[in-house]
Amino acid sequence: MKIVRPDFTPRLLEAHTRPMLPRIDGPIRVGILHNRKQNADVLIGRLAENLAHDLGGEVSFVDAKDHAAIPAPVDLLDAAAARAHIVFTGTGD
Amino acid sequence: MQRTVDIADDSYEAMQRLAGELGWGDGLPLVAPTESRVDAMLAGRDPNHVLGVMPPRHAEVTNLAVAANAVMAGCPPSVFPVVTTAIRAMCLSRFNLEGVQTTTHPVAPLVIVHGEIVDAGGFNAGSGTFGPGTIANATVGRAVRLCLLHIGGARPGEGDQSTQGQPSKYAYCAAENLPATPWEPYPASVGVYAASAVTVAAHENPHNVENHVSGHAPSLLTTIASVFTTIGTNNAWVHDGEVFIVMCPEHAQSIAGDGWTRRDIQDFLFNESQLPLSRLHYLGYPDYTDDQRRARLAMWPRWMRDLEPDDRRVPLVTEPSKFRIVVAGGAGKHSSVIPSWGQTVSVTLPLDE
Repeated sequence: MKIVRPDFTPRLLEAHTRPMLPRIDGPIRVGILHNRKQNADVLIGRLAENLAHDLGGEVSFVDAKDHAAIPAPVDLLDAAAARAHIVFTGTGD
Repeated sequence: MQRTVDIADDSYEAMQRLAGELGWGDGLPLVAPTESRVDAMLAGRDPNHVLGVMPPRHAEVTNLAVAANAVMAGCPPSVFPVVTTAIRAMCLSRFNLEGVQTTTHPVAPLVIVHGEIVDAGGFNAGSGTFGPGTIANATVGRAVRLCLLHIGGARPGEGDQSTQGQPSKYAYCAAENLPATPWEPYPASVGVYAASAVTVAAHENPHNVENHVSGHAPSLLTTIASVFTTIGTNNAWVHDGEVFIVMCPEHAQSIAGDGWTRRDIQDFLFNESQLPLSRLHYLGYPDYTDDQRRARLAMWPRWMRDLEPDDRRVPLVTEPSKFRIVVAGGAGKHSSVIPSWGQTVSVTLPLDE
């Protein structure tokens, strides 16, 4: 006997990660974009510093968006993209 | 993904065993969604029709899967259009289901049923409309939750990060008591004119408002406003979320007896549901840092952000229409204030065919 799966879906909309950078010229530049959740700046700051240290790079960008529930403005994202190879942004509660 | 899965038989025991193995269900007994039961639920509708995409799994939602969940919840086929309409409404981007499903807040989608389908589907709009005892209310609310769990992937602690959850995450469905409503039907108040309609609203549990004495609008509405005006509420933290005022018929008739319209109520609540700006800034936290406070201010309207945090009183919403007035329930003098989550907005749609 068969039953219909309650979790059936014909398609999952997959999220795609950004393609790997082909190469990084010079030391890696790591960014921090605080989402203003409690302690997010502490956690992602430590992660960013550790990564930069381990790879011989630097934290090159530190900024914050106005609120966790408000998207970052495009100019802020552009600035992060221009100044960092990788950006840590945000945590949950 | 396969549409079906093998099961030993359609017994309670077999269904519970399979649900346990596959991580299905809400913890309560489930009806086995056999193909014949699902076909009966669909009643000729296209099983492949896509109603939307449901986060956080980001799965396309078909009539087939919704029907399977409706069977599992025990829905009679006559109320299936209420379930599909609610699902379709929740999948609209303005409802922000991604946030509703995944936040640490306890928010659950409330389904309010309006119009002819209330009687035709056997919904209870009277005494205990939010409570147990009516198949339509209970099973529609449960079917919606099962869809959110199974199709959307909002398992507690996985997709759903709600810190404590709330009882209405089992089932949350009520009906507008139109015969007892002294104003136009709720859907008309938000521009939806249809014989039947469904509203979905992402909200907390109902907060009771008890007033057995007042017979006039200002005193009744002052009591209602007091339940909402706390520093622990969503709108003190975030600002400007919609608030449903589900008014009992006796309160509604007392207020209408004074000649007050729905708009009069909204205007009064807008002016009465205010807090001193300094209290809204600091929320009573002596250790509240400026950085934390500034983050919250980003959600406020500009004019409020630019004021010094003094004792002047400011509203918790940006406009009176953020108070949504619906009449439901039976005899007695208990109404409900239902705060929402974040700045999520409700959606009202005409009932699906």
